[in-house]
Amino acid sequence: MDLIIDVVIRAAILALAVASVDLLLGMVGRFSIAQGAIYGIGAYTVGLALANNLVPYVAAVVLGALLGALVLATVALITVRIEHFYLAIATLAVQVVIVQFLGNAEGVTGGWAGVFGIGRPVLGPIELSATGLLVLTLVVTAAVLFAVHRIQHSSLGLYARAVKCDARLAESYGFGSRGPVVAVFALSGAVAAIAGGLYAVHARFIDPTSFGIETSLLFLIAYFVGGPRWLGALLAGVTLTGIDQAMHLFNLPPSLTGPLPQLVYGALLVLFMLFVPNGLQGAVRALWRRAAGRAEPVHAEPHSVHASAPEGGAP
Amino acid sequence: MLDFFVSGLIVGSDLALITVGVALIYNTTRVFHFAHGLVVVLSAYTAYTLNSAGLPLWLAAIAAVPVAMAAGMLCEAPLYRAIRARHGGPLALFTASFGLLVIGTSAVQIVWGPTPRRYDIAHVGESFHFFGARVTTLELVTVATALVLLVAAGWVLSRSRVGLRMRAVASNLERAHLLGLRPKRVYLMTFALGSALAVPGAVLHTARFGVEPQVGLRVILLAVVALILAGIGNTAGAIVSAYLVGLVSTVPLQYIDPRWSQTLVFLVLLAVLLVRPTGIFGETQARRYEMRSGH
Repeated sequence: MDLIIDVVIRAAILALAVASVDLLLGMVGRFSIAQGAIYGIGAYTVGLALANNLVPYVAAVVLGALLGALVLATVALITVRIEHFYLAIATLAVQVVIVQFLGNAEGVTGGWAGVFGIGRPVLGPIELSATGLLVLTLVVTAAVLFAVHRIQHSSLGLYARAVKCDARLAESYGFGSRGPVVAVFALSGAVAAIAGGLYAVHARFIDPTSFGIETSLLFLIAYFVGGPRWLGALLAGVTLTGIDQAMHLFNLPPSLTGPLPQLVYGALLVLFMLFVPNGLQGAVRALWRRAAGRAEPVHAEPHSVHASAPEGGAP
Repeated sequence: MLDFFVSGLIVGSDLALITVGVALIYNTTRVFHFAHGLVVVLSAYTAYTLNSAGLPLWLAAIAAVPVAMAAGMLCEAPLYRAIRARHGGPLALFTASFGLLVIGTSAVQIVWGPTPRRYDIAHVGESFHFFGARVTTLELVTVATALVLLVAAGWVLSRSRVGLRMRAVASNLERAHLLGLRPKRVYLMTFALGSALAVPGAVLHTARFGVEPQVGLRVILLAVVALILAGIGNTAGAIVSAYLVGLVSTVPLQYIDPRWSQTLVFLVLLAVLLVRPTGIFGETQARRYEMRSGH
C-alpha cells in the first residue's frame, strides 16, 4: 500500500513537472532545460521552511511558486527577442548556476549534504499522514492541470500560440510578443515550483543532485513521451514513473542502476520524437475519435514541437 | 597570476579543439550537435582501450580518429536527416542530439563502468619552468597540438575545396543547392571533419583529467558556452571564445573558491547574452536574415 501511494504521488508530481514543460514548449514553442532547477527552487523553499520551522506549508509553496515564476520570467525578459536557441542555452546556464548555488551556498541551503528532516505538512490544525499527503498531491495536481488547461484555451493561450507560430506576424497584428511569452514563462516557473514543493514533503530529504540536468532532461523526455496538454502530462507522469518503478523491480546489478534508466529514457526520447510526435496522448485521442466515430483533424496538432516555423530549407 | 593564465590557456586549448568541431557543424548544418560530447567520450574510451592493449597513446589517438568520424557521421545520416525530413526545426534537432548524448553516455558507463580511467603514459609529470610558470610536458604538448591543428583547420576551411563548399553551404543553402554542391555530402564531410578535430582535444583533456563517462557532457557544456559567447557564424571567433572560457574558468581561481568556477562561467554567459544577444563576434540578426534569405 505504501508503495502504491509512493508511486501515485511521484506520478502526479511528474505530471505537474511535465505540465510546466508543456506550457513552454506547447504554448510558446520555447525550450527550457531549467525546469529541474526551478523544481528544485520550489522544493528547497518548502524544505528549508519546514525543516527550520520558518513558515507554514502553504505559505512556503506559494513563496516557492513566486520565486520560480520570477526566475523564469527574468530569463524570458532577457531572451525574448533573440533566437530560441539562445534561450535554450540561457536556461541551461540558469540550471547550472542554480544547482551550483544550492550546493555551494552551505550557509543558506545546507550545501551538497542537502536538507533533512522535512516534516509533514500542517494544514490548519491537521498534520497530514501519508494518505493525507496523497490526497493533497492529487488535489493540487488536478487543480493545477485544470488551471493550465483553462489558460491554454484562454485568450492568453491564443496570443501565445500566435507568437509561437510566427512572432513577427503576430506583432504586425498588434500583439506584443513579449507579454504573452513572459507571462507563460512565469506560469511555467510557478507550476514547476509547486511540483517541487510537493516533492519536498514527500521525499522528506532533498539534496542538490536531485535537481540537476538529468532531472530537467527527464521532464523533457516525459513530455515527448506523453505529449502536450493535460492528458499528455498525466500519461507522461504515469508512464515514466511506471517504467522507473519497473526497472527497480528487476533488481539490477549496481553498475546498471544509474546508467540503464538513462539509456532507456534517451532511447524513448529519440524514438518518440521520430515516430510518435504527438506523444501517447495523440494516440489515445486518435483511438477515442475512432471509437466515437469522429473524423481526424485536418491540420497537425498546433501544440507539437514540429509546428514551429521552420528555418531555412532542408537539403 | 601567470600560473593561472597559463592554466587557462591549457584548458582553452583542448576546449578549442572540441569547440571548433561544434562551431563548424553548427555554421554549416544548423544543427546544435550536442552529441559531439558523445564523440568526445567515444574517442577517449577508444584511445584508452587501444592504449591499455599496448599501443602508445599518440598512436591510439590516431586510431580513434576514424571511430570518431564514423560516430559523428552516424549522428547526421540516420538521425538528423530523419528529423529534417519530418520538418523538425532546430529545437527538434537539438533535443534529438541531447537524447543521443544521454544514450551514448549511459551505454559507455554500462560497458566501462563509472570509475575514471587513466592512460598509460610516461613523461607526464616532468615539469619545468616556462617563462616563470610551471608546465608539464603534457600541457605543452596540448597547447602545441591545439595550435597546429587549429591553424591547419583554418587553412582547410579557407583554402581547400572542401572548406569552400562548407562555407558556401553555411552561407546560403539554397544557392549551394542550385550550384550543385550537394549539401548532403557537404554535411557529412563537416561532421567528419568536426569529429576528427575532437579526438586530440578529447585525448589531451582526458589525459589530464581522467577518462570517465561524464566527460562528454562536462566538456560539451563548456563548448556550448564558448560557442554562444562567440555567436553564430564565426568559427575563428569560436576558437578565441574557447580560450576565453578557459581563462574565465581558471584565472579567477586565485581570488575565489574553485567551487564557483563553473557558476562563474555560466554567469558570464548570461551577462554577455544580456548585452550582446548574438554573441561577442556574432553576426547581427539582421545580417543573418539577409544572408539566409538571399536579399
